Amino acid sequence: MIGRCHDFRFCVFHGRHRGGGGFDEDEDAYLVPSDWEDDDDDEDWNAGGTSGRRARDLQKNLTASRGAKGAAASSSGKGKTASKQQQKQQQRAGAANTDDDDDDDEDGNDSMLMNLKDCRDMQLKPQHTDRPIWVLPDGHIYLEASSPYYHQAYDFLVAIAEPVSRPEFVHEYKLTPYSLYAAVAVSIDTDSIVKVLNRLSKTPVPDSVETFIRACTVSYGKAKLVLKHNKHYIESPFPEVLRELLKNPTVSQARLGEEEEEEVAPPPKTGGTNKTAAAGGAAASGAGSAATAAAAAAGGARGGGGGARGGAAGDGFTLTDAPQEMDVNLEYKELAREGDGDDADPDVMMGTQPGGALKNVAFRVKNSEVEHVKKAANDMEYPLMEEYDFRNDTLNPPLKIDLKANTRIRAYQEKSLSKMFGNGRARSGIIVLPCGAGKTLTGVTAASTIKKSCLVLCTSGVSVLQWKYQFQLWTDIAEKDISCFTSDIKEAINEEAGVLITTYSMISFAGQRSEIAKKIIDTITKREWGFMLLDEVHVVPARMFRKVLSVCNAHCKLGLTATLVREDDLISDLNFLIGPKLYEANWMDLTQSGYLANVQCVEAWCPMTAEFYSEYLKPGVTARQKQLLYIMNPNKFRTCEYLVRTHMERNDKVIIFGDNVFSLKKFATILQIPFIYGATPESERSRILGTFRVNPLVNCIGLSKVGDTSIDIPEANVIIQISSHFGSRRQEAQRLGRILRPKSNVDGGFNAFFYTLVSTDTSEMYYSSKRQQYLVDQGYTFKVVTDLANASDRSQSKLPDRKSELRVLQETLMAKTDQEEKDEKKMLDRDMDDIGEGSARGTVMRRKGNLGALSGADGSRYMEYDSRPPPKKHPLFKSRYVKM
Amino acid sequence: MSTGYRSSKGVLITCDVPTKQFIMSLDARLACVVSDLDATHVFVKKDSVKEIQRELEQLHEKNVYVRPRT
Repeated sequence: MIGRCHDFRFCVFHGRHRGGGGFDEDEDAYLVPSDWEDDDDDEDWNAGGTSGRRARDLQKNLTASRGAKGAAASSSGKGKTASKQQQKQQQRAGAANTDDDDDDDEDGNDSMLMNLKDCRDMQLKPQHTDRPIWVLPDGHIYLEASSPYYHQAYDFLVAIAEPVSRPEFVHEYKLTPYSLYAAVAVSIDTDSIVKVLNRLSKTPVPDSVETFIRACTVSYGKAKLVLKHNKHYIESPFPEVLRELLKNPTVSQARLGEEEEEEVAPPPKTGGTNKTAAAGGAAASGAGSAATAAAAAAGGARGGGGGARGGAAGDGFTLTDAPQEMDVNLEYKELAREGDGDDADPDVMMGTQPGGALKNVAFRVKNSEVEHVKKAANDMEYPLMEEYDFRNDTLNPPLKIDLKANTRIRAYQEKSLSKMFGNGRARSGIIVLPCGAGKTLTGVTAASTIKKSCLVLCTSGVSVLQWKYQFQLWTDIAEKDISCFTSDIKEAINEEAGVLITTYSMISFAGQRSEIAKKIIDTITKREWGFMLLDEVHVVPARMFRKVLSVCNAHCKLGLTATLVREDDLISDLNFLIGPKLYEANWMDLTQSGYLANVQCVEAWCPMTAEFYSEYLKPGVTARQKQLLYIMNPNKFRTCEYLVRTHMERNDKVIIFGDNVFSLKKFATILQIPFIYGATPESERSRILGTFRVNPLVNCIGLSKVGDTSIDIPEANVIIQISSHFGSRRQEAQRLGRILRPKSNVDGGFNAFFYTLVSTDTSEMYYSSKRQQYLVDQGYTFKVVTDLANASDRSQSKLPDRKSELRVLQETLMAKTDQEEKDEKKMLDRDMDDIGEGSARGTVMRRKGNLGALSGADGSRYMEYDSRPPPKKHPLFKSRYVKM
Repeated sequence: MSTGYRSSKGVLITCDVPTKQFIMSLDARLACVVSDLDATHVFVKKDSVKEIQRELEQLHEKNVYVRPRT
């Protein structure tokens, strides 16, 4: 096993020299025993296409080295194959890193105890108490939140690694190929990653981790597809990479301006951004060699490139100044420099030249071939990152949009945007911010930075209007420049440049459209969009997104979401379709700085009553009936009643969430509160919500899952969840998001409450703890309360005795929920809350009718009246007039 | 036998309401319940106690979510 693992690493190492040569001949070196595969995190590795394969392979490498090192002491299967000495180590009891001052690990993170790792062979460095992180051989990183270097280390780690769990004291991160891809995307180079990790870590960074980082970053993010003056360039600091790409026939055919200009770098056709002249007259004579040699020197950080340098003269790449990265994003370099000053040459180490800026080399490709080039590059494991040099785009008309003077952007919003616009160009990617943390403002700011035509895609008609409102609230955009396109509102787009807000379903709708809609879609298709904003990007599976992309043509894509999780694996491709995750905010930090409400999460356990439970246990009861039974549990109702009463007395605004419409109706009817579900007409919806917002007498409403997202009720501060969509982590987080908007009564304590009512001894317990995982990973703690049902006085309840309970049971068993579910589904389809396979669009309704009705002759008839007095008719032509 | 009383050996289980219902539901299969006393007490045959415990364990196991490790 160890031998194999060794082989594999060797192969990866060679893989980079061969570049796009494919891995086929070495395929068996990638084979690992099937029992290792269990360790793969399937969610992360299911990316389609070959890039995904590479990612999986790399992960196997890491897993393999973990197995060989016997680091995961918990899995016995691996222990058997490990060497004797390692077995001995495993037999010694106890967790890994508890033998020193690091007690926080145990207090803060239960999940660590569940998965013990033996790391006693790792040596602590001097001054390890000052260093904030632990790097384990399997790529997991633990960060102590109490460290004085926490903030710097956090910024760095969130850029290079995927956050796994971020509770109060110790955070867990994990290095993945995607996260490293994202790191390279925001121009953190390989050596910096290794160097800074080593500086921050209490123990020397294990070899396996370093190998993994190098293997992952060797090709990812090295080449960029840049759009300048409507010409596509492939750009890279490393000439070898471009040469490698050009070996591909597709790429070399797509290259523009080649053979005849071989000796001289192709002069830029417009002379705008390509600073050939500025580069010390390099283009004048002997340009090719001078330019590339300089560039190759810049790329010196990459080992093994030297051999190819001799052949540089003939390539004729354009030499440009690499755009300077913003200082904010380079803080990590400071981190590497400070501390012990024993580094011989920090500048070389960081890959920057002492004298000045990095140089980039580039060649131009035909615009028509861009799609093919992208695909070819992806196949060659050099995925092209897309950047949009919007400042130098003169072809697309600018949009007049500026942030209003009184618009304030919060620190974390600025940080997330600085990742996007780090080098003065716009990168495509995803920004993850919690609900209520101002995702919209982030998007609006990005749009007003790019100042080009902007396409906003959201999930429902309601959020289309909210986006429009937000655009007008924060910016000075003219009314004529902003238009909506939904099933109800169809506004024409401004001819020159404008913001268009629409829904995913409108764009991807495949059926017959009305004429006006068709016209708008045509405009959308023809327009070259500068910026595409994708709201709630997690609801869009990759398949859907591909469809959207095939319709619209945008230079830069920004995805916004609060919860980048989905129970099915449909979003893993987003990494490659939109771009890497640029920024993910820490919920707890935002809560502490007061940007989010401080929420107390409570799980209230409600024991089933005897009658309900005996029905629940009866054989032959369907899962659906079981679900109804545990939701309608009278103890749950009484708990809910008690909580509503308590919070009403405190003048809180309470939302009761129920996924199941029957139960929601029942609860609402008995409690006498208004409620909204799928079949509630739009007018009544807004009336209820409006009343809830302003009327101090209406402090409690019920919402079905139509209210999970995109209903903005800043006043609400209590949520009681009576039923939920099985184990959906996203729904939990989205619902919590309804009360996350900061509250005015900030006095340090909890100012919002999130209750989940769970019937014990039923499968609801299972789902409930599954649902909480995402929030637990964000640092929320769920307090379990067991005795709320009996704490309340029964006589005050609407279900005081056994007789009333039995009546509810009777109704529950008789319940016909089909119609309500259908209504709900119809509503959700319209709202596209979850755009997936089940969408009922395009179904045909058959109705009886007759031709007369179709021609309009059935009801009223066509008549024409003339209010003017009848003209005088000549008696001669009398017969010509028809008698009216 | 003339007194009309019969004695039988067994175990008195004291538990919460749902658990008692669960034991009652096992009765159909195991025929373990001797006497149904009240909401929280049930008298069962001694030799089926092990089985009941196993079933209860299974029920609890089923309703607990264990997070998959990465």
